Amino acid sequence: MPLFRLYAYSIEPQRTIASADFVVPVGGAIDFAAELRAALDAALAVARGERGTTRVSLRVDPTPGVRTSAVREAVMRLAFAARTAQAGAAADELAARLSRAMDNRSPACLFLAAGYRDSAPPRTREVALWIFPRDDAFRFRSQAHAIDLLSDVFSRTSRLRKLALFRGRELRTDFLEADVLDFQAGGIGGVAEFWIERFLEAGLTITPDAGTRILAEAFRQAARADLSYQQREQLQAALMAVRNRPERRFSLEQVANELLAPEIAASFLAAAPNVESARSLFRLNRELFDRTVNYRIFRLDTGVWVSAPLEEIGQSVQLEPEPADAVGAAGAPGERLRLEGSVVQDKLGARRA
Amino acid sequence: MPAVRDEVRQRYEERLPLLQELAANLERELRRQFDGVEHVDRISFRVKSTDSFLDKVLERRVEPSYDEPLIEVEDQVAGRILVFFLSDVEPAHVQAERLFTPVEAVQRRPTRYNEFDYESFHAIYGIPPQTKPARWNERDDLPRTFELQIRTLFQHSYAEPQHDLAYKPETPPSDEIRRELAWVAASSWGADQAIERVRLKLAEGAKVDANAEPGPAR
Repeated sequence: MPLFRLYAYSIEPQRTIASADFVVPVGGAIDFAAELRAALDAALAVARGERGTTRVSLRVDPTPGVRTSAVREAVMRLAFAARTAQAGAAADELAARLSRAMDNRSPACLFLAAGYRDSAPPRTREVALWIFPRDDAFRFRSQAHAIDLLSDVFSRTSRLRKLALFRGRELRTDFLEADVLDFQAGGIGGVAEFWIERFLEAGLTITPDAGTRILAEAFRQAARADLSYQQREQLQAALMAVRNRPERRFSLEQVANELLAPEIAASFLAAAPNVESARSLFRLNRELFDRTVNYRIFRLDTGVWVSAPLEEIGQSVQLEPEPADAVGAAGAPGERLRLEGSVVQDKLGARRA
Repeated sequence: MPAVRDEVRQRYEERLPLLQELAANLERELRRQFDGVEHVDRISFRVKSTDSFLDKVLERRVEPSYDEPLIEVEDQVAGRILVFFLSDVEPAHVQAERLFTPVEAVQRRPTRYNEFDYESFHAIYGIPPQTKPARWNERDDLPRTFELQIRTLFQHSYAEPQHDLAYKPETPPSDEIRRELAWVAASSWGADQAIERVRLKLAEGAKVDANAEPGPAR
């Protein structure tokens, strides 16, 4: 879709600045030549293929007849306003909003708001909101045998760059969601939240409950595959790592790529209903995860591992408190396990969960 | 006009299998979300029938009018949760929003204190990624949203027959029929209030019993 509007602003973090001291970001409409257009098209193409892209839903005022938000309004004006001045005012609003959403934990940046349109009906438009972080760079001039220090450059490839891509028509049902590229979104605290939550005023489209159920199902499905003992241990380690990692926002794809060998990852990812849900970030609901993952694995002081479906706990697998005088390992839960059952399979010594 | 109707019919029916799959996915997700939640009578989803869609798009006046009805009509896929008591409606709403992102939400009720009519909670939600059927994202003429209603059994007992009987814009009901319907609505409203009072009294009674000192053995 061809670029038809472009606005650029230099953004300084001003979240903690009093309203009276707020400095309006400097910038405005940009004339774009073929080279810049090609660079932005290339950046967009790279971003679309990035694994960190996730879908977000804008938090709109749900009052009938309103059902919009400040960001959605501005983005739609940027996309559809007949007059350039209206689109420019919308870009100014977005730039000011971004500056108010950023604090000093995020670097100063270049903010670009780019509008794209198709010439043929239907009147579908795209709006890309970009930030590229400020960087320090060297420029080597070989002829002059000199190096310049550049501090007003912005990185096009930094892992700190962010994108929100909106697409749709001028309808009340459109521009309610965006595809977001934000490598920090899986992190912890304010830096992770600033782009999606504070600036876009959006939430992850897959809710914690829905994402946690998909994740639990993925672990169950992977566990049902014919796995070796080592693979099963890796799956269990991944489950515990996911459950206990401090960052609680991730996608199924991230878990598969970071924690599982390819042969386990395939059956793990097959549990996702579609590619979009495998790629989308969600926030883990740990309590629901514990309830939904249907088995527990115990390591005993004898070196024996016991993997038990939850429904067997209290039945064939009995847990009792350790006697008060028992000396357990530090951090152990202080429980004793009894297990009884008939062996129905013993495959070449490989232990089965 | 018949040519337009035929064209819209064809375009709507071509998408029906996808809408039906979406409805089934949404129903399964919502049932899972309400697993173990008390006082839920039923959860169901349906796809709007072709004739109902055509009537809505071509016959009824909707403000603002639809530019892209195949996208904008938001009850092409719609669900309903029926709960026992009035006090269950809000918790059900909260539970649904642990799964779906709201776009619109309204408690529909008569505006005047001395009117009795349709009452129900209505919400519009974005379609979550995990419920989209395969090939959903390949088309650009599918709805982005769906509707969910949450109401009590008594609200439903008025709403369904009333919708079937009275909602014919070409032949508005007589005043007498309107009055009869208002009586049914009032009765449903009163029944909801009464059963809610009974529920509260029984709950308070149970609390008193639980806190009572054990009496002397008889």
